[in-house]
Parts: sequence; C-alpha cells; structure tokens
Amino acid sequence: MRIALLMLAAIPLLGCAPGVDRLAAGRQAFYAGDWEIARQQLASAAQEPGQADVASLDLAITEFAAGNLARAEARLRQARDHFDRLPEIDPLAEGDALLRDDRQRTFRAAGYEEVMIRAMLAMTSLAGDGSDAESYALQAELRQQTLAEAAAARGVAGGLPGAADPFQPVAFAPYLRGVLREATHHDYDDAARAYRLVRRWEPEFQAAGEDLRRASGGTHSRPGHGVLYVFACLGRGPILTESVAETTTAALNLASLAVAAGSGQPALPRPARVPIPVVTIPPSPAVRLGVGVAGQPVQATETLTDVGELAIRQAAAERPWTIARAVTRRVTKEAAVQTAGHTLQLEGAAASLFSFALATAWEANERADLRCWGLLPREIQVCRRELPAGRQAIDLQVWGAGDQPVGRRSRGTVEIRDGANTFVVVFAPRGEVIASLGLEPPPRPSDVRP
Amino acid sequence: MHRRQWMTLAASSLAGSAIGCRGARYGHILQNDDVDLVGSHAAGAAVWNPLVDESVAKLLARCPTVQRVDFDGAEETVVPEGPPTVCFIGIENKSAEELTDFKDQLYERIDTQVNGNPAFRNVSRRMVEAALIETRIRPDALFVPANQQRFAAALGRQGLPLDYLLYARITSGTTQRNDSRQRDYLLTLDMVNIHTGDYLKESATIRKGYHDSRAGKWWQYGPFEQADG
Repeated sequence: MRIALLMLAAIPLLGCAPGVDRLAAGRQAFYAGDWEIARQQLASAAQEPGQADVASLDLAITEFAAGNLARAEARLRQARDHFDRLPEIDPLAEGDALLRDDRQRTFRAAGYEEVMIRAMLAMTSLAGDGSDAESYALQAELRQQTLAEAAAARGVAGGLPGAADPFQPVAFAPYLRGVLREATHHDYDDAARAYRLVRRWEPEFQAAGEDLRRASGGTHSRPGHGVLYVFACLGRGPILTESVAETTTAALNLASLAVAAGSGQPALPRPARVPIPVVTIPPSPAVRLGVGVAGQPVQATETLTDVGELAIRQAAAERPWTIARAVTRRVTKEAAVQTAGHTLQLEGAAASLFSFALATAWEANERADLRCWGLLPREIQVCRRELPAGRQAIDLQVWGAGDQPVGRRSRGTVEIRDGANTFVVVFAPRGEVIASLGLEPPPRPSDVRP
Repeated sequence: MHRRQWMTLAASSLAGSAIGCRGARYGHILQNDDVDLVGSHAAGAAVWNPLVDESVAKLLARCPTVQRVDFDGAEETVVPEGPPTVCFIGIENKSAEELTDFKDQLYERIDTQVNGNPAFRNVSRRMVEAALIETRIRPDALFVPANQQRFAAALGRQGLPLDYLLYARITSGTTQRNDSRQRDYLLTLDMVNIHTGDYLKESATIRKGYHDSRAGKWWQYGPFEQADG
C-alpha cells in the first residue's frame, strides 16, 4: 500500500507524453513560405510553458521574412531585453531540473545568439527605414565586446578542463557596422577597424580583404554610383536532437563535487549513459545565392557567418556541463529513492524491486533540452555590388553544389541611390528563395505604357 | 575546484539571484556636479569630455580672423569680412580603442563648442556629408590642397564660403607593467586655413591607469609608488 501511494505521488515527476509539436509544424510552414500557418503554429507554441522564448524568436524571424518589419523588430527587442534581464541563476528552475531534467531550466540564449538577436534587429531596421540600424549594429558590437571580456576573464580564472571556450565571435556584427560607417563617407577609419575584425574572425570571407582596402584608401563608391548589398539567410539552421552520451571523467568529477558538497559525504556516481542534445544541421541544397544585375555578370554571395558552426562549437563547450548536470541528477534521484525505501522500512528483495522500479521510471522520463532558435539560417552570406544610380533589375537564384543553379529565379528591381547603400535581405532555407525584402516586384507588362 | 570553492560559488550565485542582480535595473539622472564614471576597460566620459573641452578652448583662443573669399569654380570673389567659416570634417580614431557610440557624440560636442563661439560660423554636418558624397573625397584626403579646393567649391556652390577646415584626431599610447596598464589619450585639433595653408594645432592629453583591482592603483601610483620601477 505504501509503495503504491509513493508511486502515485511520483507520477507528477514523471511528466506526461508530448502533444502536437507546434514548434516543428511552425518551422516546416516557414520553410514552405507559408507565413500564415507558420505564424499560427508558432504563436500557439509560444503559449506553451518552456517553449515561449524559442517560439517567440522563431516568430520574429517569420514576421521578418513575411515583411512585417515592425512586428519582427518588436519581438526581437522584447527577446533582447528578456535575456538581458534574466538573473545569473534561477534557483527554483535549477532545483526543478535537478529532480526532472534540463528542460525545466530557464532557457538562455547562447552568447552568439544574443549577438545575432541584435544583428537581426539591425537587419530588420535596414530592410525598413534604417533609422535604428546603426544603434542595433553598435549594440551587437558592444554585446560581443562584453562576451569577449567575460571570456578573457574566464581564461585568467581558469575554465573547465577539457571544455572549449563558449565565446564565439560573430563576424556578421562588425561587418554590418563597417558597412554602415563606410556609407557615412567620413568614418572610414571605423569601417576599416570593423573589416579588420571581420577578416580576423572569418578568414575564409574573401570579400573582407577588398572591403578593408576600400575603407583604408578608397571611397564608398564612384561618383554617380551606389552600392547594393544582398544579405542571404541561406540553408536550414542548426537544431538540437537527442543523443545518449557516456559520462566523461570531467563530468563525473564535477558531479561528485556537487554531490559531496550537498550531502557532506564524498560520493562518486557510477558511470551512466545520459541524454544530451547534439547539434544537427538539416540538409539543404542551398550553397550560395547567385545575384544577377541586368547586363552584368552574375555574382554569388559569400559566407560571412556560419551559424551551424557556431552552434556546434557552442554545444561542444557546454557538453561537459550538460553531462555533469545529468550525472548529478541521476545520483540525486537514486539517493532520493533509496532514502524513500529506508523510510518505508523496506528490506531485501522488496527494497531492491522498489528502488529499481521507481528509479528506472524516474530516470527513463529524462529528456535532453532541445530548445534552440531553430529558424536561424545555416549561414549568413553577403554580396556587395557597386551599381549606377537609378532603378536596376535584379535576379536571384539559389546555387547548389558546384555552383549549379537550383530552383526558380526571383526577379525584381531596386532603387540605387548615389553614394548610398541599398539593402536586400533574402531567405532561402531550401532550394527556393522564399522571401526577398527590399526587392520590388518587376512591373507587369500591363503597367508599362508604350 | 574543492568542496569549499564549490560551496562558495553556489552560495554567491544563489545570493546574487536572491537580490535580483540582473532581474531589475535602476536609473537616475546625474546632477551637473556629479563626477563622470571612470571606465574600467576603456576611456569613457571621464576622459573624452575634458579632452574635448580643453583642446577646443585652447584652439579657439588662438584663432585669428581672416579675409574670407568665396570659391566658385576657378573664380574667387572677395566678400565683406565677417566671422570666418569653419568646416569640421570629422574625428579620426587612431587610438587602440574603439570609440563605439562616443564618436558621434564627440563630433557633436566639438561642433557645438566651435559653433557657440561668436568669432566663427560653422558649416552644418549635413552640408559636409553632402559635399563629401558629391566629391567622393575621403576626409583624410582633404589635406591635399587640390582636394581642399574641390571640396570648398562644392560647399561654395551651396552658398557656403569656407575659410577653415577643422580635423580632430585621437591617438593613444599604452604602457604595460605586469597586470597594470597606463594609457595616455591625446586629442589633437588641426585647423587649416584653406586660403593660406597655415594651420593651428592644439591638443589635450589625459593619462589613465588600468588595474585588475583597486590595490593596483595604490601599488603603482599610491603610497607604494612602484610605477617608476
């Protein structure tokens, strides 16, 4: 009877089966370019506990791609402020996570995601009137500085043995700043500094050399010309999937320290296999974006920030901590079950059966924390072209492996202003361009007067 | 990491969250006599504001009046004498630090102070930017006389006679001594008379120490005076 009551009391800890995955459904609708369904599904997901933050971030990207710039900007600003306000540690959520799993922890954006939020804010502004773009680009840069200083301080204090540093510089942020400062025609020194940083952080980005040369001794553009920037959010971004990890020595040491500190008794947990999140980058045929201008040779975008790579490095840096938490949780659960068995004065086979059944059921319910900003692109690519002032016809097409065009060609026009930048933001998560902000549709034949 | 360290870390984290160290923010208006915050990692208001005030005051005190001329292509027309026109081109940052959002504010601060002096007339920043875009001349290329003439002609076409070009440059010098660092900040103002090529130059400097702890200041510059070796 006592065992039955205890088992009944443990049911809330076991959780319940997951329902419809609205987050995944919303993301699939986004990839298909179905903004309305994506918005509905993600808005529903944002109401579910635990998923609100990631769903809200995905919703911001959806609004951005759908051209609702004000809503996208508001959501991103809200996310930025929310993550800034989070306390360093949330004891209640951490305690809950110790009893159940990491899904109970407060969701925190990774360092690179915090920078990306600000960079995306700058992009939403640039796709609109651009009035706050420079402020957002500056905020991204300042956030990056803060993260770098924190990383340097950790280096001095000593980090976790075997763990990579979670600081991941995002070249996209200084690039945006460089682009904006160069267009002032008088702050070339700022632009040169920014491009230098881009070259250091993203040495594979060939265009940074030319950008730096121009900012150091050239001018923004020739008289009578302006500059077209095409920013491409290419490929499907990294998501987290569950895997099982063997506990490592470092994680065991960390966990035993935690348990010893908590109980006052030295304890070394037995090695175990624990669920952990691993980064998965869904396949996508999109490799580059071809940008054609009427009468001029086609140019392709180049990778400025590899978001997938940033996510992989971030997960590698967090992995020992994730495993350590899982081991600590396992030990806590086993200790709690054994204590309960003693309290119930169970002995012999009954005690073993009780411990085995309850601990197994409790532990089997553990899941890895798979929350992430899933609608970030796999890569952010860019292409810069100097063009004569006036209306220019542009066509965009996704290129696959071997620079072979895939999907349909998107056509439109842009207005190039003398001595100024014009921005086009493109979303192409798979083989097609699903959104191109800043590109006006070409005039229909019926609109053209003879 | 030992048990005691672990406990300390956990306790400090919990205490930090309990008092809401990041959850709530507080703002207040500074009074005029409140001191500026001294930046812990970079220059900040306590460095830039006095540097601008001092260098601009020194420069303006030395400036003579000029015989002004208008540029209109190749022709020059003598116009009645009056306050000379100053065109502030911009700030060039050659220091080891990024100015981030300070740069535009320093520009405005210098521009406003020059503009506040009745002995000068300023060219609006928007006019300066328009002329730079029209001529596609880099600010650092305006030291070349031919470029100065082209630039002045562009402003002249907008009805703005030009007498002086004003440049600001920020440089820094860093001395490292183990965990302590001294950085000297220098703001230099160059005022070039585009009619004669004469120039005036004034600068102001502020030295600043950076340490890992407050004790570093006392050790290097305080009673222990270890800074001199």
